[in-house]
Amino acid sequence: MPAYSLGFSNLFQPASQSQWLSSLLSALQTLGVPATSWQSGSVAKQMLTLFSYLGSAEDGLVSVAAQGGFLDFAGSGTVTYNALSGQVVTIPVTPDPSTLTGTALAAWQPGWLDVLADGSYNVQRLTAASASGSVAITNTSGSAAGPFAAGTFHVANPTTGATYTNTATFSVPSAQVAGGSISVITNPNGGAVQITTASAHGLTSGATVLLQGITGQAQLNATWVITVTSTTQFTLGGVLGNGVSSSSGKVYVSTVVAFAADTAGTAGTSAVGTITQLVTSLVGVSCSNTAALVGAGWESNAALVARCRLKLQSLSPNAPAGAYQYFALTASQLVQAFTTADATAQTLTLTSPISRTKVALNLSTGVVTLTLANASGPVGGCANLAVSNASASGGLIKITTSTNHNLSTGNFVQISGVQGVPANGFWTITVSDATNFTLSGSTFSGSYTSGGSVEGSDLGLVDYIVQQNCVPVAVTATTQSATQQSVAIVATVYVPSAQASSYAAAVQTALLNYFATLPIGGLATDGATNVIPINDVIGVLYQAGAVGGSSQSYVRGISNVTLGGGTADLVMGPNNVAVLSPAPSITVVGQ
Amino acid sequence: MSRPKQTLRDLAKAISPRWLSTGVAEKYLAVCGMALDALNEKLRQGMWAHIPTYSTDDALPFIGADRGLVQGPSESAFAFASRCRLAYDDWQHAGSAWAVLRQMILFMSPQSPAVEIVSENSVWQVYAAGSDTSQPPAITVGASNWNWDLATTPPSALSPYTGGWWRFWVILFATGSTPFAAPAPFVFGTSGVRIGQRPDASIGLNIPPSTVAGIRSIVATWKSANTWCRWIVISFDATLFDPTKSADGTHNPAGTFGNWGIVSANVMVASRFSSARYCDGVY
Repeated sequence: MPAYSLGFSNLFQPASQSQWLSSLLSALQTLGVPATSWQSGSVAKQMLTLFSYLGSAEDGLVSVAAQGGFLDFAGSGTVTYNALSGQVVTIPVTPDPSTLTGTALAAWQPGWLDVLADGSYNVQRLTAASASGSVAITNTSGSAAGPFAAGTFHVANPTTGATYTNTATFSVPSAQVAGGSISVITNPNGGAVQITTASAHGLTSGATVLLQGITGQAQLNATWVITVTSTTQFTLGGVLGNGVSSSSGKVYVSTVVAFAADTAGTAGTSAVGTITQLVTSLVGVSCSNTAALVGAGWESNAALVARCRLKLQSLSPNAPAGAYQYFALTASQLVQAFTTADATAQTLTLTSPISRTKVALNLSTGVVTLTLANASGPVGGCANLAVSNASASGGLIKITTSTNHNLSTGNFVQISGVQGVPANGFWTITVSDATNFTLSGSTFSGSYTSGGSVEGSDLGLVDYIVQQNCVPVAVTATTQSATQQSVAIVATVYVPSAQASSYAAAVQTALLNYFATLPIGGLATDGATNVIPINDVIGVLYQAGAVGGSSQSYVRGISNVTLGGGTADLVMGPNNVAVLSPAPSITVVGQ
Repeated sequence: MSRPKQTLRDLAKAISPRWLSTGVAEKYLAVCGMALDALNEKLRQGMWAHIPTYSTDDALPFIGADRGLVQGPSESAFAFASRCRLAYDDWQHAGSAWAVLRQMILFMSPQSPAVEIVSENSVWQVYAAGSDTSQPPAITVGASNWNWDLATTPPSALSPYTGGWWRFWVILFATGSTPFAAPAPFVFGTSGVRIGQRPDASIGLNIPPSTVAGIRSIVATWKSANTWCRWIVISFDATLFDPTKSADGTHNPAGTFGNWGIVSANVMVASRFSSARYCDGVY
């Protein structure tokens, strides 16, 4: 400890220019110089004044540096000092890139927190990641087109201007009408909307379709993921009936394609049904997204601080709970290099960083379960998924999984434990359906006898990283995705007429960003755990109208708010991740 | 660390011409030099502020937070600063019984009670009072001499998961001439005391709930994720929970501790040693 101390808090704030000048004058006075009676225009006084400005500014930098040695202060501390212009300036010790946009974000440089995290903890800030997800492409009158190689087809959100590019090869088939025409629309108030077609529709549950030409219920003319209830009937996902009768129309089969935002970060976030513009123009073809695409911004200061502290727990081979969390949250930086069985080198990273984790111990088995979510919600892929069969398909090995594998064509998988067929190893795959895929470059031989498991895509890669780096010998730990809990939000918001249009777009983004950070299993309040507090949602509706980033909002009133159909806090399952679906129904009233 | 041998004030005087080294000019320069020296001193203290043993005491809670440590209720600033210095080394042992016991003992400083961890399969890891925790604790593999609740009848609602190698128990001995805790019986209702009205005492103990919470927090943070600390026991009797004794119900549990009470001769009696207190564990 120093022989004399300024005191911890005094290190963090500089003296103001006037305090500096006052101290200098006072010191001179003590030495017998009549400095306090100097004229303000005198050379001696002016030089001292200039010195006091320099001293205060330098004092500010010293205060920043002092705070930069502590995680919490480096992350959220501020310093107020007199700039040479004379203005009082408050600056953050480390500007938080997750809160910056536009030119401010472009100009952002690593700050004290980044230096501390890197130098003391060997933890580096997670960079922004592009929003990615599926967009449905539907041909209603044109001829077939394609194939379009990855990176050659572009769509856009006309409201935000965000553009997206396909990440997998696809073709647009000619218009496909399922089941002739729509003969009946069953639309019970509050119940599932059921479509009946004139003839067999030939669809399967999970397919995406575009309804068009429906009269009386124009909002049904949109793109939907369906659940088949009979050969001529299916229900629409993400919408409830309103009791209003409607009829006619057609069902067009959509092609679902993987897209990623061209710009990394939250600027690429789009709510359900908002990516509706084809940049690559095709006559008679339209597009829409049936799920939100959520981009991940730069890791926030708070998240980086938390990950530094978790890093400590990762130093041990005995895996405290924080070690599991650290490796999952850092997985997007842990590049994994593999070579597939057909000698193709692969370098894998996550398509979206893991942003939410939960570690739980099964008290009756001693098994650790790591539950994960990313900014969009559930994590794609599979981890330790059981193989139920390995058969031949065109000379290749076809793997059948015990439940849905959640993989896509082009994904990379690791297969282990399969007996009787040479399927074990690393492979890229071609998906046949929800429970089947073939192994590229494989050659089928032998006969499947038993066993096997599959790891693939983001969930599989995170599990691989956790198993390799964290799980101790003789300990069983499993990795799973959080379960999606779809949440509907309805509200009426009153704003000045001039802001109505911009608010309508801003509130969708604000709600998506709020849901992107909700912990797995929700929050704890005074009265309950595992909830989404309705007051938090109301706060987001209010803050979506924030004036210039301040706490003030131009929102004049909020009414008729329902969260998940109710007017209270929404209860969540402990391993659920909340996802906005359908898109929030916010009625914006301009006044 | 050495400091600059010459102050800026001295340096300014040394390099100044004579007309700046005398009279008002000398004092003017001296004041400016002193201001810069003060700023340099602030810079030095600022750079040292996050370094344990070089920082001021009021910085220690923040240093501890950055190193995953919480200062014990009676732990001195020097002791805590020393613990902070060793944090990175200690974290390399996190998830072990050694780490849990060591951190508990250091948290209890200046007390250094005897502490134990015993696992479901009767592996005992023991520090005697006043032990040097820089070395791992003594390990005794007992001859099946730990049986907490396997014989509990009926199965306890509080302990529905009997068995399992991942379970362990933490035992702290509040014994000797100056024990860290003592029994503090008070009866709710009879003395006007209600839950939450005694911040200085826990139920049955004369230590504040925050101390118990601190111990539980250490166990939660430093244990491995795949283990379950079933109970944290504070014993007032040094002869109990003895790795050299059998599971006879006199020295060690004999399988009936799953419930707080058992029926004996048609009378409900306490099933656990009355000279100990039992705090729920953590998983």
